[in-house]
Amino acid sequence: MDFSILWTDFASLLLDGIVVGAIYALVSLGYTLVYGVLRLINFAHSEIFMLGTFATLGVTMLLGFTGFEEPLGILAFLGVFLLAATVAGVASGSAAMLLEVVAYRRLRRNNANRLSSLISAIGASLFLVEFFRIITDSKDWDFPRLLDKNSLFQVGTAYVTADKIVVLVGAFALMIILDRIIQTTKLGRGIRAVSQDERTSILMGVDVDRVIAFTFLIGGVLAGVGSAFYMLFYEATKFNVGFLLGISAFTAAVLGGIGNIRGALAGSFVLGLIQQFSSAVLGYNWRDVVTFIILVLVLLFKPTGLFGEALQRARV
Amino acid sequence: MSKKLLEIRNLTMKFGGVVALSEVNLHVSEGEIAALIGPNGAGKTTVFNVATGYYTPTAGEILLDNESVVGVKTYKIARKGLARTFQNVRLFGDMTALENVMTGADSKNKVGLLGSMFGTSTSKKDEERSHKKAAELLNFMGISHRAGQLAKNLPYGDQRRLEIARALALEPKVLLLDEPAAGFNPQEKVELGNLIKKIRDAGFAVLLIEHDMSLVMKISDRVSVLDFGQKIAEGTPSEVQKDQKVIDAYLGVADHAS
Repeated sequence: MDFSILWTDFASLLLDGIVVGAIYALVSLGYTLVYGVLRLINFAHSEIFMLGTFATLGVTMLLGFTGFEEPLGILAFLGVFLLAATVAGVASGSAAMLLEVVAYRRLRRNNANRLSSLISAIGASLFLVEFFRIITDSKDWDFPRLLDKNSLFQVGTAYVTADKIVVLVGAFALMIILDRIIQTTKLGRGIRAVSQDERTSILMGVDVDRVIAFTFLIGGVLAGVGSAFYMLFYEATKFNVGFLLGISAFTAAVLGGIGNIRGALAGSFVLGLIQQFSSAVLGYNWRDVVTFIILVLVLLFKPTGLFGEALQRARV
Repeated sequence: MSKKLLEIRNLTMKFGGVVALSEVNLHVSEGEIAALIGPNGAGKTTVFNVATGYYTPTAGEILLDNESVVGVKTYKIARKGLARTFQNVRLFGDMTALENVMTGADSKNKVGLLGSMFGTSTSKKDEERSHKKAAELLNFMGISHRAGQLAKNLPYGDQRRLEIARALALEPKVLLLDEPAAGFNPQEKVELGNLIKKIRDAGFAVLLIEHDMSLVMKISDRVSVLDFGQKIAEGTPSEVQKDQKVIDAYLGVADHAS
């Protein structure tokens, strides 16, 4: 093990950790939002993300990209990418809403216990994975290089590339928009009210079914757009891509305190950084081992998340 | 005779074999403060739970402004004009006082939940309406200075006032208050009584469940008495106080006459 890499490559590990963290953040928000209103871990959320990666890829394929063309100019790129991200967001968002209706709503109406919903979630997840395994031939699918990934400029050891800038700017913009929605709109107040006391919100005229449906929609859209950023950054997908990414995003949500929006964001960046720095020392293959160790440690010793009480105020 | 805004006819509520309410008739008229009293376990809060749609009655009718609300979804009944507070304060603790009231006010807005995400002119207008309404109600309840504080950090008395403000934000035809004076000292009870009268004078009919007899007798226009799920008396405060059945069931028992 070579620890000196932590110092020599500090800036580049930092940058990559933040970029990866930004992608996790968009996915972890879906876990945390749904947990807030339903007290349910939506295990199928990782598949909502996976579906988004294929939607992103589908758009570029329909536009005729094969992966052998020259990278696009900035304007053409933004046009193509915006379209792909929008389609992915709509696809994942609608799939998430559909999932809620099919897999959860009836159970909720019948006051089924949490375990039933959890099993339903796992079932929906398996269904989606297997369905995509079949229709995508279990293959690895490459995403065409839309953007020149040569370094634009260097900060310390960090090579700043256009795709990283796009991911960071896009993800931060979405986080700010989400925060505004939660803090300053009727839907946001509805989501917070239902998260805190569902029974009372009904008596205050809140249409809880719709609040829950739109919570799934928001979580799905974020995962879908996040999947477009993922494709831009990693340039490949497969039917099981959701599993490990989902576990990372879920770990990030738990790390920040599940149900807590700002906690999920903080947890995502912390996890992204831990993964980058630990992979640098231990080797990339150890990344997911580290993730699972963190998940287990948090659940064992700090189940309320790192930010426990302090951030509880910001809880949805 | 003034219009009956809330009318409960022959209401029966059974839980398994237990009869919580039996053939209860009650009404609340425009511009009045009606009180519902009775010993613990008499079924008072059950009346609120059935009226607001939380339970579906075993038998009987509930009319809100002459429209039956039996079987109507709870959130729709709230929007139609039946708002309540709770025996144990149930605020959204991690939201500010202003946001708590806005959540009630939101229900009366035109814009849908989905529409509220987009900055259309309707959604902006509605957001302003909720904000203005909430600020007015906090002012009306005398807790404007608490607007920006989290509900859970408010002193107990202000939490109770905030709960009433949130219910009023629904612009209810009838406001249901469940033991609003619980935990108050005599001075606070007097203030609360004045506040409830002020609410009535502002145009909201009130149905009050309360254990504090001096408060009930001072502010109520009409009192109904429940005992073991049955209405045993109804009338003006002075009539009810003289009623032998009421004295036997309730006022005569030292434990209950707080």
